[in-house]
Order: sequence, then C-alpha cells, then structure tokens
Amino acid sequence: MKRIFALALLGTLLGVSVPVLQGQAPQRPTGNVENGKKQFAARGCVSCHSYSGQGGAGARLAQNPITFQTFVSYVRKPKGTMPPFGNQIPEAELADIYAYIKSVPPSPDPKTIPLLNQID
Amino acid sequence: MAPARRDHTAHRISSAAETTLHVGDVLEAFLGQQVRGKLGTAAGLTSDDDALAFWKMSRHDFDEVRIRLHLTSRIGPYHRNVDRFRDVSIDVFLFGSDVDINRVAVAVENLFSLFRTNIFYRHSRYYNVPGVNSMKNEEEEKNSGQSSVDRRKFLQMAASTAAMVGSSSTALSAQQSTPARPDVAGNDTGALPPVRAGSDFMLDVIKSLGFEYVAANPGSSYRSLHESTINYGMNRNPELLTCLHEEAAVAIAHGYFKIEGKPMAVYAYSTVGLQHAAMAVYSAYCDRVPVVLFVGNDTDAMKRVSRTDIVHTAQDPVAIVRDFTKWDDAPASHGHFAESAVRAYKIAMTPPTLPVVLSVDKYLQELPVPEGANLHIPKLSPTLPPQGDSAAVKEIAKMLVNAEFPVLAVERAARTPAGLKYLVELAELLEAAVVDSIQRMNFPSRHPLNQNDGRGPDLSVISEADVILALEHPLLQSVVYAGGEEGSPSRSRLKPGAKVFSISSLDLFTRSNYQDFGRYQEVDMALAADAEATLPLLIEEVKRLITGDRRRVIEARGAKLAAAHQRRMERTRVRATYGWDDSPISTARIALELWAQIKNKDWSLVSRSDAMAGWPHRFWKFEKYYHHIGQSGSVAIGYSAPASVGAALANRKYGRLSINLQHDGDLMYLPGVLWTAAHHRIPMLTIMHNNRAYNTEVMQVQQIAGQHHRDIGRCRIGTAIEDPNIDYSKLAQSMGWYAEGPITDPKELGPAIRRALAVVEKGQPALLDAVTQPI
Ligand SMILES: Cc1ncc(C[n+]2csc(CCOP(=O)(O)OP(=O)(O)O)c2C)c(N)n1
Repeated sequence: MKRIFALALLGTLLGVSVPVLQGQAPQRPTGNVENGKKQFAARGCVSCHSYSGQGGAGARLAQNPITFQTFVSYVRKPKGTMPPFGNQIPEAELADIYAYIKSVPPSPDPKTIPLLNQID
Repeated sequence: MAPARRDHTAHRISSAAETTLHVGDVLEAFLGQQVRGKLGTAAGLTSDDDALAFWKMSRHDFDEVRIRLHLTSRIGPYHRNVDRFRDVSIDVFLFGSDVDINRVAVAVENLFSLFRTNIFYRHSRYYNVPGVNSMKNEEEEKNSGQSSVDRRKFLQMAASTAAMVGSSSTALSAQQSTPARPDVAGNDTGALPPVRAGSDFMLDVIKSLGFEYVAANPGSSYRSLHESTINYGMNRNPELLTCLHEEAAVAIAHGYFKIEGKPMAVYAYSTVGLQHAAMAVYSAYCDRVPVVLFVGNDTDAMKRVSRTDIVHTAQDPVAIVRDFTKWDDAPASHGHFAESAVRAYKIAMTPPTLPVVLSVDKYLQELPVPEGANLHIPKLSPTLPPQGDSAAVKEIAKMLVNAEFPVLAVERAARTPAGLKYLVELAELLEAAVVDSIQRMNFPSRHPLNQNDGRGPDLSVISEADVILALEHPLLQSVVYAGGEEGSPSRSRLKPGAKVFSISSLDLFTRSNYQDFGRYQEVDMALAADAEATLPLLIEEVKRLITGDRRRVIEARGAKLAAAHQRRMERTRVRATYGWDDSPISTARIALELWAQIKNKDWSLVSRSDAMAGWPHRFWKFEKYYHHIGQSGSVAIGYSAPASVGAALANRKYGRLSINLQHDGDLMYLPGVLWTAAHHRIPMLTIMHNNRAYNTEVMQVQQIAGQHHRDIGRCRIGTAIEDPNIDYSKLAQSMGWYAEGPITDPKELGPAIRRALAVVEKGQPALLDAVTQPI
C-alpha cells in the first residue's frame, strides 16, 4: 500500500497519471511521453534500440504490441544479451518510457518511399 | 633583400672557415653581438632556409645545440644538400641572437669537430684528400691528439683544404666519366658533382618492384632513402605520400592493396615510427594484405651521436612486429639490400599474402655506392600459388555434387577479380548457399544464393548443410559453433554426419603468438592450397560430375534459396522504413539516399564493408571486385579512415567514385588522413556516421553493468564523444576538404549528397557530417 502510494505520489510529481487498481497488477498507465523520451535516452536504451525505439542491436520497440506488464518484467529481467535493469528504473519512469514508445507513429509504408521502390 | 647565395663548395667552406676565425675574435673580445651581423651576411643565408627551423627550435636548449651540430656533422659529401646545411651550421648554429658567450665557446669547439669530421675525415675517406689519412676514424683522431690542434691553424687549414675538397669531389665524378680534372677556379658553373648514394641504388631496387607509391611519415633514420625518392627518383613510381602518422601510412597501404592488387611501400622511422605503425601492420596481417615496409635504423653504435639517434635505435627493430609479419631482414650491404628487397616482395605476394619488413641501416643508405661496384638487381619471379591436390579436389567435387544441401563458407576466397568470378561459377553450378563474411568482395551481395544480408551471414543454413566447403576461412569456428560468448561452452551447429572441407593457404603459414588463426579446425579434409588457384580445377570436376538427375535436384534447391532470398529482401525493405524520417538520421536512410545517386556511376565502397550497420550491403549491388574492400582483418578501430584514403587513391586512376561511410570514433584515431587525402588530391565522398559515441563500446559497458547489477545509465561515461560535439565539417574544411554539416534533418541529405558529388567529380574530397542514430 505504502509502495502504491509512493508510486502514485511519484507519478503525480512527474506529472504522470497512473491509474492504480488496488490489489491488482499495474495496468497500462498513462505515462508522460516527454519524460519518457528523455529517460529512454538517459537510461541508455537508445544505444541498442535507437532514439525512437526503432531497433538496432536490440529489438524494435515502437509498434511492438507488448503489454505494460510484459514490458516491465522484460526490462527488469530480460532474456538474451540485454542487460537486466532490475529495480534501477522506478515503475513510474517505466510507465513514461512505455508511453513514449507507444507514442511513436507508425513507419511509412515502403511503397510510399520512392528510394525503396528503386530497389529491384 | 636576401643576401646572395654562394654556391661553390670550396668558396663556401673557405668563407665559412674564415667566418669562424672571426668567432675566435669574438671570443677574445666578447663582441659577439656586433660580429653576428657580419657573419650572417658571410654565410649567405636566406630567411626561408628550411634548416633555420632547426636552430629556432634548438637554441633555447644547450643539449639540443649539440644534437643539431652532431646532425650536421653526420652529413657526408654525398649529400646533395651538404652546402646548404653547412651554411646553417656555421652561421645560424653559432650566432643566434640570444646565444650567450659560453654557448658560443662550446659551439665553436663543436664546429672544430664538424670540420675535422666532415672535411678531413669524410672527404678524405671518400675523396682521398691528399695529406689526410683516408682510413682514420674519429676514435683514432681522438687518440692521436688531433683535437688539440691549434684552432686558428686548423681553421686556416680548413679554408685552404676546402678548395681541394671542391676540386677533388669534382674529380671523383670526372674519374667516373673522363680522366680530365676540371679547372674549378676557371670553369666554375656552380654545378656540383654527381653523387650516387646507397639509397639511390636502393631506390632503383624499389622502383624495379613497380611500387606506385610509398606512404611515409618522415624520420631521419631513412632520410637518405627519402631524399633519393624525391630527388633521384623525382618522386615518381614511387611517389611519396605525406602521412601524418605511421599507422596511417600502413593502413593507407592496406586499403590501396585491396583495390590495386599490388602492395604499396611504406618508409617508417626506426623504433618509434614502427611502434606507431604496429597496429596497422597487425591489421594487414590479419587481413592477409601484403605491405612492404622499409624501416630506417642506426645500426652502428659508433655512429650514433645525438640523443635522438640513440633512443631511436634498436638492435632488432622489427622484433615488435615480427609476430605478425611474414618475413624480415636487416641487409648489411647494398647487394644484400637488393636481394632482400626482391625476396621480401616475393614472399609478401605469395599466398597467404602478408606484410614484410626490411630494417635498412641509415649509414648503408647514406654510404655512396663505390665506383665500379658490381651491383645487381635480382629478377623478380612471382611464386605461383599452390593448387590443391587433384585427387583431393576430385573427392571434394564428388561430395559437393552429391550433397543435398552444400554450403560454401568464404572469408577471403577471392584474392583477385578472378576469384569472384570462380566463386559465382561454382555456387551457381551447385546452387549452393554462400555464407560470406564479406572480408573480401567474394560474392555479389544481391545474389539469391548469398546468405549475408549485411548484418552478418544467416547461419541457419549451416545446420541444414550436409557438406560445407570453407574457402580461405580462418575463423570457421564462428560459422560452425554457436554460443560460447559469455563463457558458456560453444555448441556445434553441424547436423550429425555433415562433412566439412577446407582449402586455405593459411595452412602453409602459421605464427603462434597472436591468435588470429582461431580455434583448431575440426574438418574432414584440409587442403593446404590457395583457394582461388584451386577453384578452376574444382569447377571442372563439378561440371564433369553433374548429371541430369543431379541437375534437377540442384535446380530445385536453387529455386528454394532464391525464394528465401526474396522473402529476406522484403523484410529488409520494411525494416528500412523504421525511423525513416527520424532525426538523428537512420543509417538505412543514408544508405538509400546515397544509392539513388551513385548506382549509375562507377562506384567503390572504400570504408569497412559492414559500415552503417551493413545497410549498403542489403540494398546496393556489390558485383565487381572493387565494389567493396572488406574489413580491417583485426577488427581494429582506426583502420577504416586511412584504408579508405588508400583505396580511394587506387581508384583515382580508374576514375571511380570512392565512397567512404565513416564512423566517428574510427575517424578520430587518425583524422590527419583527411589532410593527406586533400594534399594528394584524392577524390572521395565521406559521409559521417556521427552517432557521437563509440557506440559498440557503450553497449559493451551496458551489458557488463547489467551483469554487475549496477547503473546502466552511466555507461556513456568514457564511451560517448560529446560535450563538446565534434564538428566534422569544420575539421574536414580545416584540412582542405569541401564539407557540410552537421546534417540532422534527413530531408537535407539528398541535396547535400548531390552537391558533394559534384565536388568529388571535380577531383576533390568532400565530407558530409550526418548526425545519426546510434546504429
Ligand atoms: C584499436 C582499437 N581500440 C579499441 C577498440 C574497441 N572498440 C571496438 S568498437 C569501438 C567503437 C568504435 O566506434 P565508432 O567507430 O564510432 O563506431 P560505432 O561503434 O559507434 O558504430 C571500440 C573503441 C578496437 N576495436 N580497436
């Protein structure tokens, strides 16, 4: 309860609205996109996933339909070569990052990119 | 107005000696200041005298004064610039404006020894000045008490001997051509007698090997070879490339070879120069690239005079690179040099092609070739690379033809354009999947049989294979084994019963210290032979064995692989759209913007073949041998920028457009290569992959921070190249390049490429600083 309160408080401080359902696992929150973008870079996610989560050495996160729950548990204890963040990132901040990733618009259709259509 | 130069040797030496007599007066009367002006005129110096810089550097440091003087004393009569240096030694050395009287006294003492060594010892030794013991060395002179000779008398003698020196040196040349002795006094044209330095002969040998260029950073241990190259060889074939670091010189040679197919020579300065060069030599070694290095060394301890000479000499300078070179020698005579240079070239060019080094004694370079010396430049007869045993080749052919799913694993299979052609022929005959690590232009990038989509080969085919043929593939382990990276044991990808064959010239040459040979290769049959030389025989056998039945199986396999290739291509197309309009710019966007503008030109990618996350490889049509130059071999950062300059230089004479995709971290090891490219008018387009970090290392530190359960967000400390951001366009402009940037908006990229290409097509280098996504 204390933890939930603290989280909610942190969320309020960060301008995040975190709907918390008592007794249930956290649902998809409404995070602060701006802060999420900042934290995505500051926490070092960009070196593998690129600035807008488009992937690189790491997986593509943008347009990747994973739940907040899966997202949180993967960041904390990932598989493969991704470093485990454990509890380094508070859940409210993860909510912001999640919100940022979700806010990234879809990529253009390859057919609409003339440079790609020149490739035979 | 600059004072007129006095060009005649005898006149100059005698006037210098006369000048020095005044020094004695100065010493006695403590009137240095007044006399200084007089002497300046006597020595006939002009303000632009290069050697003046020596003095300017050294006059604040007494030890250095001595060193410079020693340097001067080492200049023999066989040096074309002896008079120029003597001017400096007499005037500038002794009478700089702030020289105090004690320094003058010591300097004069040194001047005595200068005259004694240069005029009497050296001239008498080579020119037999009458009355002077031609064989007497400095040690003997010391013992004989000559140093206590009355200074004034000595200088007077110097003055009168000077005339003899001038005439007798002329006599030497006359002796060589006509017995007549020219009348110097009456017939003074100012021409100095021709001198054949040892380094002139060495250059003849070097020329005979067909080097177009010699890359070098200057250093006195090879000054004679340097001077012969520019004055005797008139700086043509080889032409000297001014490099700002020895590592750059070798890496330029490395890149050049991979386009031109023949080695570049490198001159390197003794110990410290070769130490600087070492990493690039290692890269060439790992990449099986021949580079022929000539390293100056001051072998004879008796002849080392300055602090520099001493600390820049090693008993065995090549030791530092011996573990990663194929052969080296330290010739003891001019004849020996000739044989060793030709031998070195031949060894370097025999597969496995690798770097070689000659340690060339400084004195031997400077020593004139004796009159009538019977010197000979040996004939270079290339060694034909070995073809694999024919019975074994037939066996491999049979296995390949009968295989259900054969795979060709190649690293440096194509040594030349012929290798590329053979590999395509073999792969198409068999419809075999090709797993190419793109260390050479082995196989066309967009060929349906190619399993490498630019991010590395798709190794799933290895698990499908029943027969694998590895061609010049020292790191087959990386193909055959999975895992093992994080300390877990590696696991074979091979399916039970799969057969592995290898053809590699590396089996003919293995060193032990550096582990580039990889793990022990567990293969069913290894042919110690050159893959490219063996392929024609293998192709003939395969053709002979393919029957109608097998052809149907083979064609079906080909169709399956082509369909898989098409699916991969579609996925790649979609992947390229990710972050298409993002800023920083995506590397996929750069590759495609560029491709649209170069695809109809005769282009060559001169950076690492896997640059910008391998995006060019996914879309560009790499088909010709010069379309890419592979990678560093050693995975050493700092290779790509200089290698790109070397490769672009080689491309220049064919009128090819050289494209360099330049990672920022790599450039900053040797940014001076930008200047070398501009100075030598090497056209190339460089596009920065400016992710403002050593991003690969950011990820490495992040991974380990995760393993240690510590803050992953702090891992840009020590790995980011920001605060301040480097302005690469200003950097390039400062070194003579056309440059634009930083470019952060992807929409600006296309027009910028167009402008830059227009500059490159006029023969200039151009750089675009694209600020990019991390990968
Ligand atoms: C001579 C050398 N020093 C250090 C390394 C370790 N290292 C591997 S990748 C890398 C970063 C390269 O940075 P950059 O060229 O900018 O490419 P990026 O990783 O950002 O794509 C470094 C320093 C190396 N391979 N070679």
